[in-house]
Amino acid sequence: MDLNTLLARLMKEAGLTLYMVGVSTVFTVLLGLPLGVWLITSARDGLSPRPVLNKILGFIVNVGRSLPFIILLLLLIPFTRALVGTAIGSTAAIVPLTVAAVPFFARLAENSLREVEPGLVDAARSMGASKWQVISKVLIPEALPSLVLAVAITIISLISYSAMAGVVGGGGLGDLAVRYGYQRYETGVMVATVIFLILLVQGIQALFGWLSDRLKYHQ
Amino acid sequence: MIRTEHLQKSFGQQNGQDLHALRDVSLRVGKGQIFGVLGESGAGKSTLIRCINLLERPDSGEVWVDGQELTGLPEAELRQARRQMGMIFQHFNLLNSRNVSENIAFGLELAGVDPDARRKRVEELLDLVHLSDKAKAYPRQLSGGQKQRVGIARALATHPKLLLSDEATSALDPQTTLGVLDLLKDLNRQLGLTILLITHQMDVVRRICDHAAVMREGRVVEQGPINELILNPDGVLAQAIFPPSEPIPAEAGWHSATLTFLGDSAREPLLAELVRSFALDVNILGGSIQPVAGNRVGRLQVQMKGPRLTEALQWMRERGIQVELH
Repeated sequence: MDLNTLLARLMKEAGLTLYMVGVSTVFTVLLGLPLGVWLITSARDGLSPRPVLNKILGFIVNVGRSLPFIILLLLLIPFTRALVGTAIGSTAAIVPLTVAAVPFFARLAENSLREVEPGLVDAARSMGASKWQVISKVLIPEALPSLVLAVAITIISLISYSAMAGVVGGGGLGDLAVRYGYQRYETGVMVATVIFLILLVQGIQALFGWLSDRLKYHQ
Repeated sequence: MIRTEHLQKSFGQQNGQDLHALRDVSLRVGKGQIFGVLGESGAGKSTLIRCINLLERPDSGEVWVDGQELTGLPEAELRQARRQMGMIFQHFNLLNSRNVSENIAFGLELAGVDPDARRKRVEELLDLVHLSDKAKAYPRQLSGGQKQRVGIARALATHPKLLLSDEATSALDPQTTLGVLDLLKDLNRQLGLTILLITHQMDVVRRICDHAAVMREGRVVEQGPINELILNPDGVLAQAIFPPSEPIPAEAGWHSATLTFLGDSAREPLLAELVRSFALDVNILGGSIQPVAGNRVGRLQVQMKGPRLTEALQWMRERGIQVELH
């Protein structure tokens, strides 16, 4: 592969990776944050304790996290087909990526929310806050700097998962590295992909780290 | 203003013993009072104050605030009732994600007050707690005393009639503590605010409270107007203010006594008059005068001798002096 072709290919596959990771990150946060909130509010010392429900939720989340992504990817093929009409391609890959990342992010979000001082919840309740107001005006805003970092960790994990999307024809950087760099012995492609991935991850971590610091309110 | 009836709260067992946080607590706090609940840590006073606005639910008993029984209220009405009670905390519990103005506006926002009215009220409150220049500062940029002032302003935003103070000065240095206590006293006078505070600091009770209760192991062991509590020589509060000293044995022919006097009688030249009117010999063995709740309370250990001693004792009691003969 000459340099121009390599760069063009790299850009195309990077676009696919960003598409898969970007969309699944949005869905992951939309589904995982409520799940994280639910994990913490239903806990024994939570806002509305439901210990049995909490145990069940915790169990399901742990099941989701204990399956290796490659297996989850294959297991979910029928589900993916039912949901998006096909199990092949990068759009289809978004389904297993999201399913894998939701429990992961939910646990991270739960930890972030747990770090909010219980006294702040007391203060809000003493002023007549409803449970929903405690969640939306205290827990999430106060945990935001930490939640932002949790999103960064999730994105980086999703980039790593997305390397396996090639299995279902999802394409992306990982797929490029496997098919050209490994199977066709094109070391240049492998090196270029690796360098690109390193820069991508560093960039994401730096961006979200900066964002988190900005949100830390003059600490 | 506050009436609790037989509050019970248990937090399970430890070492086979019931961990009782509250045992049969019946408290009476009148309108306009500054009522201090004094007790060591673990005495249950924190649980008690959290039961007043039901942050903690008692296992049994009733909580009446301003004529309303709270434990039976549905959630929505309870939230409404809580807006009639402000609360301040030992660690201030300000929201780090909001600046001073936004923190103060928080309760108004929760209550659905519109932004214009909110802004106006916040300005009044900033003025009230002397923090107008810190409106845009974040909690982390404030000192402890300033944080507590924000806490007080925030608690008062919805015009509550009652302020609950959970060890509000315990994390502050002595100088700042005095500032915050003076502010509470002013608010009590200016706004007629009833204040229920819990503390382990005797000085807090002595400086601003007019009524007090003492808690031990989940029970209220005494409560009432401070002036009365102090005159009870066996009382916990009286002994905390005047730690019992070694009784000094009277010499032969002398009668030893402890005299406790309050308010005006602490200023009068009492002993001089005793000596003059009853030809009594009085010998002072020890004593101190302590400021309590804006009053001066004196306690003297004396020994006395003279033929008209009984008459003299009668004369002192008529003047409201507590006389305890040993």
